[in-house]
Amino acid sequence: MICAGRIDRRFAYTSVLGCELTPPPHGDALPQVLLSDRSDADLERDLSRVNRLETFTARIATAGAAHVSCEPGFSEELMRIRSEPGRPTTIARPLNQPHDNRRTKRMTGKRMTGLAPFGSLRTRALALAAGFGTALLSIVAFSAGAQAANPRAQRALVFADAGEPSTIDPAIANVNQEQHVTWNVYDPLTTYAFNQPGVIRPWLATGWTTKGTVWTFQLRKGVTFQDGQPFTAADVKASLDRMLKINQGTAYLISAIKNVSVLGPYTVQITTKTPNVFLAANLSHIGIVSASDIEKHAKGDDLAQGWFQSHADGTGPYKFVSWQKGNKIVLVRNAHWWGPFAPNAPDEVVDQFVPDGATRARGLEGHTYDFADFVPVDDVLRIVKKPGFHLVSGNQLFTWPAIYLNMQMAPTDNADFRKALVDAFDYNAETVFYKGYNTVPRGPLPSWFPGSPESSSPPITQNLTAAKQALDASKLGKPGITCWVPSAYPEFAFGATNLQSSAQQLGITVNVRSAPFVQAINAIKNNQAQCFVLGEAILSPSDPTALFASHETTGAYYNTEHYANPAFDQLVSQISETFDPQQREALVKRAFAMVVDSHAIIWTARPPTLYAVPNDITGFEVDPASYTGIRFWELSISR
Amino acid sequence: MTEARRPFATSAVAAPLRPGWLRRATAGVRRQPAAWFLARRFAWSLVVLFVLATITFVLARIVPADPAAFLAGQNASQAAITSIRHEYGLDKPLDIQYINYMSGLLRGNLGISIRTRDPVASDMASYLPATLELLFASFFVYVTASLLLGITTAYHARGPFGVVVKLLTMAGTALPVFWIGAVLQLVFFYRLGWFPLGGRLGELATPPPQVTGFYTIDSILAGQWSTFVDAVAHLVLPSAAIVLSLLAVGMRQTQAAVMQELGRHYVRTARGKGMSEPRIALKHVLRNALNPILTVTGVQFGYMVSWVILVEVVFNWPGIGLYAYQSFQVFDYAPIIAVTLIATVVFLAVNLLTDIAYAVLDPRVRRG
Repeated sequence: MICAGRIDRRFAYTSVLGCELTPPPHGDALPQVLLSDRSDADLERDLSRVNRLETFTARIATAGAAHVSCEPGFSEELMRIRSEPGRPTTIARPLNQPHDNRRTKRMTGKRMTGLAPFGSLRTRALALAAGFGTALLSIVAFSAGAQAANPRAQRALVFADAGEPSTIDPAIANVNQEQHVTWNVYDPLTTYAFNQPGVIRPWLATGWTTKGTVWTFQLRKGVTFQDGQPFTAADVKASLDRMLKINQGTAYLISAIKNVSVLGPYTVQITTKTPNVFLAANLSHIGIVSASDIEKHAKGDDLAQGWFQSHADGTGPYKFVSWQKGNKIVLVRNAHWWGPFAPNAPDEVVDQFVPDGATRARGLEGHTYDFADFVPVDDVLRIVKKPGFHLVSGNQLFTWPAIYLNMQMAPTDNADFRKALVDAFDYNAETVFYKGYNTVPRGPLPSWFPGSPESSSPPITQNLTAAKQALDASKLGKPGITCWVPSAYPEFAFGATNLQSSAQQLGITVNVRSAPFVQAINAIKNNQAQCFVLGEAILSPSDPTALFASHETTGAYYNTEHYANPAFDQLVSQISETFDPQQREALVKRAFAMVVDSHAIIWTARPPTLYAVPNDITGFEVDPASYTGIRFWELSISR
Repeated sequence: MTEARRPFATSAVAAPLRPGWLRRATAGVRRQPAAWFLARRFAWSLVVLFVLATITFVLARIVPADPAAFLAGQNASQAAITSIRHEYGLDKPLDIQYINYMSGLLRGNLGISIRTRDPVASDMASYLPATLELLFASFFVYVTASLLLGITTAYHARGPFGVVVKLLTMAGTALPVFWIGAVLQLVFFYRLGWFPLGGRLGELATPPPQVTGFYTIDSILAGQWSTFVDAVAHLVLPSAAIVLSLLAVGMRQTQAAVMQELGRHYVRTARGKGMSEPRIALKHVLRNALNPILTVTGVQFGYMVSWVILVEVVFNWPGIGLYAYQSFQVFDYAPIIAVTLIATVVFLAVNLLTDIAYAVLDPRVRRG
């Protein structure tokens, strides 16, 4: 039996025209159907040539059901109409019968297409998938082709930076990612060689003399800022005055300065509050900005902070070009720089912000990045085993991490209890953690730091017997403590876990709480915990008081052990004022011993800083007076 | 389901509860169900945003933290940190900070980011287009893939194709999105070298002149075809990570809805009349199955907004997800609240669009 019908496209229910509705006789068997997928008008025009059309149409339109049967003769007439030349005709089969293509061909003169329910859908899905695949492959091919046709600029260096600067103002910058830009755009007055940080060398200042609290610096002539303005003593005065007034960033390094005077176009005099032997060393990380920029871009009394936040104009080896927020900063070589570039130094530096350590590692390994900082140690050691990479290690970290024991809170306010923890700590476990790349510290200053007494100080090792004796002497029993750990660093977490397991051997429970740095430090500052974990490193190449003033002197923000010892504070002041090296070293040794004897800090480990560096980049050395400083102008790219 | 979601027909129920002045003021709008519906939804959205801003503000500050310490940097002096606290108003009492923030919010001022030192609104203007581009690309692929796979597996639910697709998509859902992202990077960037590691464009590429902020569109507008290809290539892996992590739900929902419709009489009739199966599936079955799919798709879009944060971190995609991640780390309050509000606005908008889509797609809903 054959009949005609159509599907209403708007409402998605079936209406059947030209057929009479009856219940299905048996099961789901349906009659053969001749399908029209054309418009109502077309269908009705066709049906109008069939007998009894009006009757059928009227009946079916009110019913709207699915099962149909047709009057004898109707179907043959409709079939005849449908098979007229030029008419798109499709034939359906009963659902419970296999498709008979020969029959279709016989009826319509061509093979049936688009009617096999499953096969056709799959075919279309596959076709669509193939289309997507082709498009994707095209993108891959084009992408690869574009890379091949447009190879990386001859001497462009892509540096995967662990973070994005919040400012590139040298008076405010005090975080790694900020200093990566400012230290390469702004020149300081002095500098140092990485292998001799104790020897301060001329840079923008060609020489200096000191007498008591007065320092006189002779400045380099013929130096210009990147906007073409000449560099003079007025710029030095403006820069230092501005920095001291803003009092952020690395201003603590020059807090000894009382005033700055211009003695001539290329002579500047700096007076300190008290004699300060480290001034020249500490100026090595103070970038000099243009006085005219400060004046030109100042808004109210902001000292042009708004402008310097995202603009730069230094005398340094690289020019600031652009800052794509959230993405990258681009620097290009300053062709008019007065200083010496390494042969094949990068022409362009792309400082790409990549916060995720694993992504930095993958990108370095896959040569998307030429250089990356803060790559996890495991990844560095894995990458350097691959061809095309080499390991660069160097001294930078003083302690990583240091565990501070709160001297204002019980039970860590008890010196014997603190000593018990220091003695119980498993220092060897740290060395294992760092895959052997570690030195166990003997105190706050590393032996490689100029004037450090560490080499002659007694080693600190795990001594459980001494620890138990100290715990007994404390008469505190076995109280528990809470330790807050900044969550971003696995080394810190390991240090805290190590303390936990070490203290457990004494029966002391250490509750480790991991939180973002700003929360963790808030907890220890507000005496909500007995223990805090943080790393130690400083920016001065030879001033030990920079470390003491930050971590040990009374009231210092990072004095998270709450160490308060007026004698120590006095000693630190004396160190800065002592120009005789031997006397100064003796004072440093006393200060060193005082901090060690306080048992307020567990210096867990001192790993060297490790970098996996591609072989086509040479000249990189670890800067001992930085957090992760890189002098781009000293690198050479050979490709 | 369809019958329960009649958005334009609910106004009459609540009418007696409204005060007289409100009824009179809104009488004109209420005569037009669609406009009344939209007006009510908009008003409720504002209430939700206000409540959410308050909750987020309180929650962010319940945790004692000192964002100034981050900004000051290592070894900073106490004076420097105090100066930063004062500069950003962090030394003011909490209630004053709240009043300042909310009054600023009413004026469209989202505050200043401590981390970037820029107004949050301008940060958003920088970061949002990147996120929207990734979201829209992922959403397009997700909808296409879930419909295609859902329909196809509805026909082949017990065949090998259906089983394989089911297993793969379920695995995608079971695995964390950042892990999927990392694996995609490992395979398609590191091993095969087919796609870039992350970012929106190559490291040395210059973005096209900004018109929409979408690199794909802007590069076409600028006629920069190589940039377009680069932008699309950078979209592939992050989009794939998002889509794989969500696909199972969309696909299974589509499959279930389609299978339900396939059992209906009109499908049998359509087949009986000789209509091609793709035509039945795409034009009729899908049309009837669309409402539940639409509901799930709307919800999935919400998840997609959440996943974007993780995916942007893994793929170094400079959008609001990465911005939020970095802000969360340092308790940068203003961006945290702003990102929360924007995510809520997006979610509310998608819900509204879903409701409107019901009416557009289903005449029964439209006619109440």
